[in-house]
Amino acid sequence: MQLSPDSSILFQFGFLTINATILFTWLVMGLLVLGSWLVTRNLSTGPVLSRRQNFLESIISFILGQVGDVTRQKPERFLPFLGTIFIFVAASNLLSVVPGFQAPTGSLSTTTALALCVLIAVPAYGIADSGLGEYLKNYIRPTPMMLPFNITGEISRTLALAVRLFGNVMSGSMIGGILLAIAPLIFPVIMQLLGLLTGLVQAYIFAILAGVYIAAGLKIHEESIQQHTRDPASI
Amino acid sequence: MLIDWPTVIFQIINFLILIALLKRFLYGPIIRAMDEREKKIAQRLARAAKAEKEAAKHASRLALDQEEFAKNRVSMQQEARLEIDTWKNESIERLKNEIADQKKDWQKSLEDEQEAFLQKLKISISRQVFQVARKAFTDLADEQLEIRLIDTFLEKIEQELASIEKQKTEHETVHITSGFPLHQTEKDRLQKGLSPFFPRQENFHFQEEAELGFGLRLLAGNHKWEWNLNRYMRDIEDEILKTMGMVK
Repeated sequence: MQLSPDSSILFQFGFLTINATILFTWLVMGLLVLGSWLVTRNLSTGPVLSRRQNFLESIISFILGQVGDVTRQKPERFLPFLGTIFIFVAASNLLSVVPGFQAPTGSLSTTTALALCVLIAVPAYGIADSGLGEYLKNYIRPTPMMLPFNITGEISRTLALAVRLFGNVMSGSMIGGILLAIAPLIFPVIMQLLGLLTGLVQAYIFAILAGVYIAAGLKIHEESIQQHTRDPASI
Repeated sequence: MLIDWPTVIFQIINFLILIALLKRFLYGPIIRAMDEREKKIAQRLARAAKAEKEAAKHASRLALDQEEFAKNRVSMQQEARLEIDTWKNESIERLKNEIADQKKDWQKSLEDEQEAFLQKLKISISRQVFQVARKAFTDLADEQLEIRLIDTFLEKIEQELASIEKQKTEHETVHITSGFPLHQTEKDRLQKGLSPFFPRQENFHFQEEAELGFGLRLLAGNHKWEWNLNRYMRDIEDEILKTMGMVK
């Protein structure tokens, strides 16, 4: 039994290895981009909308609303990153009901890659917002003694992000496979349907957590600005 | 090892590409369309609000106008009523005057007509009376009356002929016209009475003319003497009418 689609290698040339994870990632990417292009090539700005445009607009509005709630800031600048995480993970998880499709999110390499992106995005948004020095000072607040804990926290939450998603998706496939061996008829179908729900929930959790982490980096910065303004002597 | 690092790097690159592609094909257009729609809706709302404001303004102005009209209506009605009353009174007065004038004219013309009629009636009655009288005389004329007429004629003509020179008449033929038939005795009586004035005349020429009525006419050359009842009565009638002031 394969734990990860990484192991099914399709093409290898030295360092360049094309495995099932990468292939299915490309497939998902292709589907998403093609679908988006088909819908957005003739958008309506009037009161009458096509069903597909309405569907996409509701998804985007939903993401914007959630991101706005989490970050308490204008959500547009976080939309490409957090929205793509949600849409990609959700699409990958939902497509896992298709026979023969191996969800890229079921590979620890993919989830690690996404978690690393979050790990980089958090300081990137923070530094873009308040500058490098100010952001780095967050690690020694309230005392420099907190530095190791903060760093450990960063690493552990990244690891947790990666493993949570991988574990959930992988376990869904594993349970499906095991149940297929034990009770081959109805039960695996129910578990697969349950897997759809789990997949969506996991996509939501991953995106929301990423939003929370990014917002946490900004929030500290905002709070420090408020403190400065309250204490004129420190200016 | 579950983590395949080359795959991780590939997936990071894939993810970044996906972000770029979705930003290009999904978020950008959709956000733009949503913003544009929102702007349009805002514009429509603004327009609607403006229209509503204008409508409210218009409505308040209309309400004011209506109120003013209601306020003015009573005074306008009173004014109109006053004007109508004035006009009515003036018209009635004018009509009364016109009717009075017409009545006066009519009365005058009636009086004139009446007067004319009375005058005509008087004349007519007088004439009728004398006509009746004439007719009565003519009808009642008998021989005695005829003889009396001849005598009267002879008396009058004698006075007349006395003033005329005999030479002027003696050579002329004498014609005697009567309105009634003359008997020989009467003819002789006339001839006898007139002979001294016309000595050369042996026979007088007698003729009868009913239109002359009860009377006689003598024609000698250019001279004419006539006496008849009609003429006599007409003279009296003229005298009477003149006395009554009806004939000028």
